[in-house]
Amino acid sequence: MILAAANLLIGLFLLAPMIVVVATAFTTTNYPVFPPVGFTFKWFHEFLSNTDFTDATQRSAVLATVSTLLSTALGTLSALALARWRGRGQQAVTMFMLSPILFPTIVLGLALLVFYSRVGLSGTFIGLVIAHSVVTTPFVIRLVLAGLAEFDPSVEEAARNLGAGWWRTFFLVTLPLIRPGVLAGAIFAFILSFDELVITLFLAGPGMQTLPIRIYTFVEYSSAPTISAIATVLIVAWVAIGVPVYARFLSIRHK
Amino acid sequence: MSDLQLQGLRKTYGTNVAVENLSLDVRDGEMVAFLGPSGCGKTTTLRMVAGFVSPTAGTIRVGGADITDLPPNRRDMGMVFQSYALFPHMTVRGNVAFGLKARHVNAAEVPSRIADALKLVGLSGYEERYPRELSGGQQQRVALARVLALRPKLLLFDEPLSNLDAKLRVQMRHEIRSLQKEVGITSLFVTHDQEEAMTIADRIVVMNVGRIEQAGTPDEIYDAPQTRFVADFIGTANLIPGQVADGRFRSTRGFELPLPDGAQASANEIVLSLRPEKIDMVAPETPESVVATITRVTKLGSTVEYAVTLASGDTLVVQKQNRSDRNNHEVGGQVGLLWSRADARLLP
Repeated sequence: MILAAANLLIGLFLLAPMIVVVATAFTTTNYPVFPPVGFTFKWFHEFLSNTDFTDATQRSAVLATVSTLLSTALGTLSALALARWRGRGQQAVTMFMLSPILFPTIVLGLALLVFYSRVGLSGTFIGLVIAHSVVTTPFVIRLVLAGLAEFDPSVEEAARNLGAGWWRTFFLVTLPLIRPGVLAGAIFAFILSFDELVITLFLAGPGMQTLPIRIYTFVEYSSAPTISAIATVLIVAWVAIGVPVYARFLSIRHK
Repeated sequence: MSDLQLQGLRKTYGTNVAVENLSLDVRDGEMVAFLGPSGCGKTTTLRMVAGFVSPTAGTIRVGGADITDLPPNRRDMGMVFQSYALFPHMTVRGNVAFGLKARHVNAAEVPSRIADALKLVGLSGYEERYPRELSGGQQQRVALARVLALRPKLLLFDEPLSNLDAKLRVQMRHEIRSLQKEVGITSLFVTHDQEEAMTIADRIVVMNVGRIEQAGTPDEIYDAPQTRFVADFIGTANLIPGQVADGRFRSTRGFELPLPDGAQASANEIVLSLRPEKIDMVAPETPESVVATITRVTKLGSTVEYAVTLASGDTLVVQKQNRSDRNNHEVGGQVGLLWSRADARLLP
């Protein structure tokens, strides 16, 4: 009973900001107020008719998708290698692979800026993809490793013994069994990348505004509830697309 | 056609020697058990045959062909794992079909091969079940069907019964043995359970610290152990240290007896090995018997174990059937011990 009540309170605490944001998106005032005054779709129209915003949203979606694909592939392979490593150094290298999680993003952004200007990647799309992947890959590694903890390696040996080559073993046996971890990692990577501001501020070239940068620059000179409308659209999109995907694939289905 | 030859197999990990210069010929259709304590190299040897561990030196031949460097998926062997290693996301049918598809068996043939294999292990009708819906014994049968469907040249068993409960383990031993005889596939069976090895195998290879201690039929291994380790590891044995002098064995404590038949005189430190159940207890005045005093009586259910002390101070264990009309000796009583000369063995 106490636990259930505590859960409810924590849930409310976590949901409160979202409720406020969604509510303020419909206010008729020129600034966000809670509770909202009146009811209007004006700010949604403002968001969707402003090409700065829609271009930025599209750019962020493409960037997040590409960096998610890259970091999921790299992170999964890395986690598989780390999980199989018997002997010395495994712990140290695992910690090293996960260390970008602990690294302040502002320092990482600065470091990448200096590095990119030497190798000519500054202000490029591929530069942003790599930078985002540096941030997101450790999370993929972490989540795939967690999934691998209960993975029986003799299942792969059985597949090899039954005549399957490396590819068949990986795609028909290993991947289906670690899919929950891989998918959780990918979802995490996508959200992190889509939301990334600090590093992107350092590295994005002119005309490469992502949605977080666009919002950031917007709130510097305006307090219009447009950003509440953007947030509401993102929340709805997440609930409509993300949650079902999460629920459908996050468990290994035997049936 | 599918005999197996291991020649000079060796595997080292750094300075650690897992298997040392192991050579063995396995006849076509033979079932050989590798028996030994953990870390003796039996599993490493099996994994080298399967292709999961590459030997540091030596060759592996199947039917005369050198397969030492072939990857596991091209070795045409079927392995049954301790953890069953079924694919949890596939049905029984999917599990059995996996190998057939991987080996590109003619698609028209696949359904009948699956049906035959499942029938062989008594699991017809379970095709659509998932592994987690089956008991441990049934899962291991699926693992067996999965490899039998491929009609491999060699069957490899890696402690397949260790995860089953005691009764089922005994039952599965006999099932695996009769199945193996029925299909006639050359098999290696790794176990640390001597009863399992003795039930299942045509020949037992006893291993210790990476080497073969002795290879022979279960009877040979039990009745004619060649080394102290084998005598001690297989069953129980009274091991009495001593020396050979003037054609007699003399224990360190001073107990003497004529040399067993065929024993070679040697002045080196040796042990006399005598199985507890091969000793008869008779009246103390019986001619040629060795007089002893009973110091401990332990009832083990079907048998009774007596600890007896000889005049020299040497202690022996004697095991007898638990019968109410016989062998009712008590602590402190005097008995005469008799045994056949052939059962007392001198071991280096």
